[in-house]
Amino acid sequence: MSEMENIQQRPLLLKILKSPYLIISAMIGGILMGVYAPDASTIIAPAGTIYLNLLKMTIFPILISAIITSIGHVFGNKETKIFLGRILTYSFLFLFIISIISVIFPLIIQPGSGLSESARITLGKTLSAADQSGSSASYFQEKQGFVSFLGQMIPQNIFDSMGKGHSLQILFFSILLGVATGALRDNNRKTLLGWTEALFKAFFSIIEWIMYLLPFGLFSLMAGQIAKSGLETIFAMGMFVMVIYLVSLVIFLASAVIISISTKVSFYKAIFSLKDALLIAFGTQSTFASMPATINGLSKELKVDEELVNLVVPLGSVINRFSMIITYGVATVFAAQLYGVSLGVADICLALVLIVLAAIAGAGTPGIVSLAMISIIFTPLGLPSSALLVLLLAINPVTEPITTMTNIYAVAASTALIAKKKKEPLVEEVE
Amino acid sequence: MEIKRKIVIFIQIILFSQLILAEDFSNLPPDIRAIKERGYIIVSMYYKDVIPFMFHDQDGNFIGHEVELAKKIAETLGVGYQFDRSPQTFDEIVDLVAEGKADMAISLLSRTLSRAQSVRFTKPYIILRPTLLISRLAASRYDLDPLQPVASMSAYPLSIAEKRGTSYVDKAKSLYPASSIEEYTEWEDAIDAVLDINNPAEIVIRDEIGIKNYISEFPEKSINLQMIPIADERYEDPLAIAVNKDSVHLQEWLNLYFEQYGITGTADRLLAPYEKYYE
Repeated sequence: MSEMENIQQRPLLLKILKSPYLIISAMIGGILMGVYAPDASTIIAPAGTIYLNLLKMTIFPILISAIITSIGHVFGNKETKIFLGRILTYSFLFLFIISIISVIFPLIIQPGSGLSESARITLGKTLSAADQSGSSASYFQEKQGFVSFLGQMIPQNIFDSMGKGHSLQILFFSILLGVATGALRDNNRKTLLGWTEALFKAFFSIIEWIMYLLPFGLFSLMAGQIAKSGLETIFAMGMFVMVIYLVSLVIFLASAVIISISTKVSFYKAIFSLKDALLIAFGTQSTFASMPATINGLSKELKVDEELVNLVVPLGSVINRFSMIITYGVATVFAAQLYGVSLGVADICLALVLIVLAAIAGAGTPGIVSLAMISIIFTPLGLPSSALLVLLLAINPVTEPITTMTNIYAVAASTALIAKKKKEPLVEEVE
Repeated sequence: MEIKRKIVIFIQIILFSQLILAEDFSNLPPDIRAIKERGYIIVSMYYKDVIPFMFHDQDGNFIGHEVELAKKIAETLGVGYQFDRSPQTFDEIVDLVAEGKADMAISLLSRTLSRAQSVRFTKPYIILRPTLLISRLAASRYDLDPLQPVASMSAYPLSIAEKRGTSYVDKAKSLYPASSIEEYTEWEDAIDAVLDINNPAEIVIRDEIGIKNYISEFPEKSINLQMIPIADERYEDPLAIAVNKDSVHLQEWLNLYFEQYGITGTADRLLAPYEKYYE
């Protein structure tokens, strides 16, 4: 409520700073600087990192307070089971559909077949350089299995987990604490939930302030990233990058349609209401960093049930890694084409399941570690995972902006869809 | 007194001038003396150019690690040098020295027990590590430990392709006893067997320079081939100079020379100056 009032009273300067045109211009400026003045870009790059840290600073407190508050409220309600069941169903539905889209497009376009001689030479050089430095091996050090995945989910010490940023452990703890809070007697529950809600709002205000610096942050982030990316490899993988962008665009547009129908707004407004979240995601490549803006856009601009948004968006940000699904899907088909391994229908079905599993197994891990999860998909299919990891790392600076942006938008779409199906308000206690 | 002193000086002058003008090497051991009397040292060397050991640069200069080493040795000995590049196999390089037609062989020569039966080897001047070249598709079939990829494959019955008659056939057998080894006439054939999807060969083991040269020549093949260095002292390949069985003193002298000039090192360090010639 108070945020809405603020919008009308904002001074001109602050209005300009939050204008999407300025933000987009800053990003384009950063890209141009990265291309034409790479040395200067490297100097200003730390400013971008500082800004990103500033954004991420309050993410875990927001995640914890949002989850506790929403779960705490929900568990005071009888329809809880149906409600959580619906979240799970839609999450899996989205994961599988996106996985199918990500596999079908490269199967049709075939980015891994018929690479030019010069492209093959560049890829070969990239791979042999990695072989000699042994850089790819380090990402595969931790063996993944279902038991170790469970083990990683349960924190030994929650404060240690927060310190180290183990988002999956923090999520697990927050859900448990939310359930426990919901089970408390009326008085205690209301007191505790009042606290967490107040904390959530306070942390949110900090994000609101930081958002005014977004143009500067994105400018230096983009400049630094472009300057350090290996452009040669990116060009050699041009078709791969294009397919990633195409798949992302398709999922993005589909998400826009879902949001537009579910919230009964125009197609244009479905996109524009979440512009902050989308731009942050594109510029920072951090789903977490854009989480507060997504919550804000969905609940304030699109008027999706606030309680539900506060629950589903943090959950989805950690668990539903659509960006990884897109990358895994395209990479799997690309690798099969590059190495002349033919994928039958059974292989493709297996791949679809493995892609979803790998994305869930990588939940809560930083981008590079979750890229290494491709071994979960590649090993059963007999594809070389370490080689593809090297190539994925090389093109990541170019593909991550679009996949992260699509990720946060698909999370928003799934939230809007779940909220639409929620006919009557589930949470009656909240006024 | 005066006369006696003059005679002494006279004798001294004669002795001294004999040393300078006539260069009497009669005090030297026979192997060194033969080289000194000839005025140059004959170096047996492989006929093909191999970067970074012996090759011609863009301007046609004959350079490389082996060439520079031979030149420095000649300079320190105080003689000239001549390269005999007639040998077409590595055994012929050794034969030339064994037959006394060359004084020493500097030509990326491995110290093998069979060669040591006919010639003397100095201490090594480069330690080459063997490198494993594995088909990336094959590697994906094995559960490789990223920290110890070489050791983690030993449990599997691998199929290895090697060049016939090289020390790497034995190295491969000893490294992977459970595997089968197919021998080929040339290294290129062995690597092609690994690249061929229909061929069972999965691995080639060769010295790091050989592998590096191959990958530099055909960079696109790294898409399908993964290089894994074998960091195990037992399989190292020490390169040494071979001298004739009678050249005991030359062998001693070369060992002392290596020691005093700190010659011996790993391939990375010694061959770094030649990195630019790969372009």
